[in-house]
Amino acid sequence: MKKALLSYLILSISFTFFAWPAFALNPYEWNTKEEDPRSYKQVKVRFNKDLEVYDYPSVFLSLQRELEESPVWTRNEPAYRSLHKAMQILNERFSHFESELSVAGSEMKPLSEFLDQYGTGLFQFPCPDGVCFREDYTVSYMDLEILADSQAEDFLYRIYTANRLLTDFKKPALTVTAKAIKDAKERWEILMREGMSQYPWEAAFNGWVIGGGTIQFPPSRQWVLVHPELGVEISTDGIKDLRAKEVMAIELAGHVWYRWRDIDKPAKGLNWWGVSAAASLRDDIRPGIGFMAHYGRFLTLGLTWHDDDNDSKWFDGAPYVIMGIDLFRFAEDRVPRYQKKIEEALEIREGYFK
Amino acid sequence: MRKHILFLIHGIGIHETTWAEEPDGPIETLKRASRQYSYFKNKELEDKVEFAPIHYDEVFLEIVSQWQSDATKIDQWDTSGVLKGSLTWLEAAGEKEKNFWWSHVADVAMYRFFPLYRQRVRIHVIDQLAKKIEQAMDSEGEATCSVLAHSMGTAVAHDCLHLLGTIRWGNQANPLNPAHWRFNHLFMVANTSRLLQTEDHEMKKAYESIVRPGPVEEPDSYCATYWNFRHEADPVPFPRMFEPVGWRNYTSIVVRHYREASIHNLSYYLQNPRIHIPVLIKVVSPKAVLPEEEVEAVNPDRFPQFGGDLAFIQKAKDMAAKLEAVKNSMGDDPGPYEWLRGLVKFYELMDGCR
Repeated sequence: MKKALLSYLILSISFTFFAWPAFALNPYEWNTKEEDPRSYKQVKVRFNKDLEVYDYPSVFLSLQRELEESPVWTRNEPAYRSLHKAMQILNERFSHFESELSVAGSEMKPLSEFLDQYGTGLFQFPCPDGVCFREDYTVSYMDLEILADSQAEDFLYRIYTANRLLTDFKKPALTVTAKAIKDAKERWEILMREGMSQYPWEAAFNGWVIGGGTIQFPPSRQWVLVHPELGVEISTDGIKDLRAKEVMAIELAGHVWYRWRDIDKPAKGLNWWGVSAAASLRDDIRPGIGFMAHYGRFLTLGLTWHDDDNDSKWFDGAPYVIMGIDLFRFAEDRVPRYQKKIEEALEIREGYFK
Repeated sequence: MRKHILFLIHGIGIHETTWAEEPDGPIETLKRASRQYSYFKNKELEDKVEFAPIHYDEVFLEIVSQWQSDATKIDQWDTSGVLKGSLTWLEAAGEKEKNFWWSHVADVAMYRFFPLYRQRVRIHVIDQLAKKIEQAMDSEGEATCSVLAHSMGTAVAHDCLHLLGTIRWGNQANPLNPAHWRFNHLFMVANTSRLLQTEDHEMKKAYESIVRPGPVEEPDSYCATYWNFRHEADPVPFPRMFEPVGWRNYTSIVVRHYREASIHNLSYYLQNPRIHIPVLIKVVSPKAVLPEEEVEAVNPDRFPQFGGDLAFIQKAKDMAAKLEAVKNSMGDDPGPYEWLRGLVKFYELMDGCR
């Protein structure tokens, strides 16, 4: 008798402490079997026709019916009731989704309106931090671990499949979002790369006055403030006697405007133009004042006046043409080829007026 | 079973694109730490976790290199000497080696005080996050993601997650909105998200944003759990300390180990079992570290507060007192200047201890 009692006790203790946890299904390690009729793959095959026409409402309704008919539940288990409630909520939401419109053409509109109005995160799987659903119908992975394996597995299959279908359902919206983010990044990159460069004090001033735009669209304008730039000044006394001299131009204050060639396709590029009051500094004559205009990073052109004869009159002489260094290098390459032709043309013109 | 994606977001300082994979980087540190637990005897951490390092230092590098290049050109051409070398300070901008101002302080200053650069960093990070999430959803039908951010990276992570989840990208419904999807866990190490918070258009302050824990579909929360780690002597997360009240699923852990001079370093934080154990348990499985292993790992005999040789221990004790003084000198709510000065002092102190 004692022996039997001892064996019974040992068996009970073993069962309680070792056997049950060892065989409990671990939701963290659970994997689907593709051949199972509840698996995402099989559900997709079974409801292929509905899914092809984006008829998710009828698919989710069928899945709820299948849950209600599942033989593994007595329908009294809290986990079942929670899953059932979540399915009901999902189906109630999908009753407002007009799937016909989605197939009709502008598929993003009904989907976007639906997603704006109703959540689809209830079935996120694996459940964040091992907690499925919310509020009074929460089911944790610990709750699942104490269920019979068949029930825990049924629960996991159904939530997993619903999540996969919802991911498919949202896919067009996710594609749009990902593209919009990529475009936004491209806009910011292009602005920084091709826009007018800013020194730290200008970036701080612009941040303070104009701000940082929006995350999708950078600012469409910019102030220029004490912006030193390399340039070349060319005297305009006579075309036969062009003299170029490097200068330090300082754009004292100005403004730049940006315009995208196609706002939805930032890769097409950015146009910008601007104008600023400028000073030019060189080592052979007194400083000059004038203005500079920009069209993109390459084209910087302006006029400056120097007090060449030290009479404190700045505008009594011919102005100088000031150009950005990039434009000058381009001109330096091209102008000699045309200079002779221009000189010949000028001589012909002068001949007429003699 | 799909892998858990863990985004790693770096803090201030020089970070190459391979920053997370370096031998003393966070990935190797976590892998080394995991090997002491029985769960990982037959499996590698990377069997369960996909590390997704995020890199944004290149944005700062691009900006300061542009400043450097502009300033150098100007200085070389300033033959008239009118600027009198006033741009020389910018000429060192791109050289970050042994240049504490440009490698550390400038990153924070540019992020906090220059909206344009802040936005540029944000969109750069958001794009990397969205790409990875979209890729996972596309290939696996789901994306289980968490974030491990450090120092300034916590502020960047905060801002980017808020924008990722709240903006109507491309003017369509956002399927990554909290109503549809959320992150699992947020691990914030040396949290500066409150210190560097801004009131930009579209942004919210640290306590008011969606970057807080909550159940699925809750519109005002974007993760299941939030972990806040800081070192008692690390002054970086001290001013405007992140300490929300009444948040559910929020855990704050203060560590007190002194084993090497760089107490602010991410890998240094991760060596501490009080930090790497929650990370492993949350991103791998609750069974990744057994309760008895946790008790053993945090035992001061196994992981003493002061480590290294005797000389270092004495130094570390002195350092702890000095760091406390730096921290106290900053006060609870220092102005930007006091905070940056405190930061410089802190790094000087750590340098002196090496």
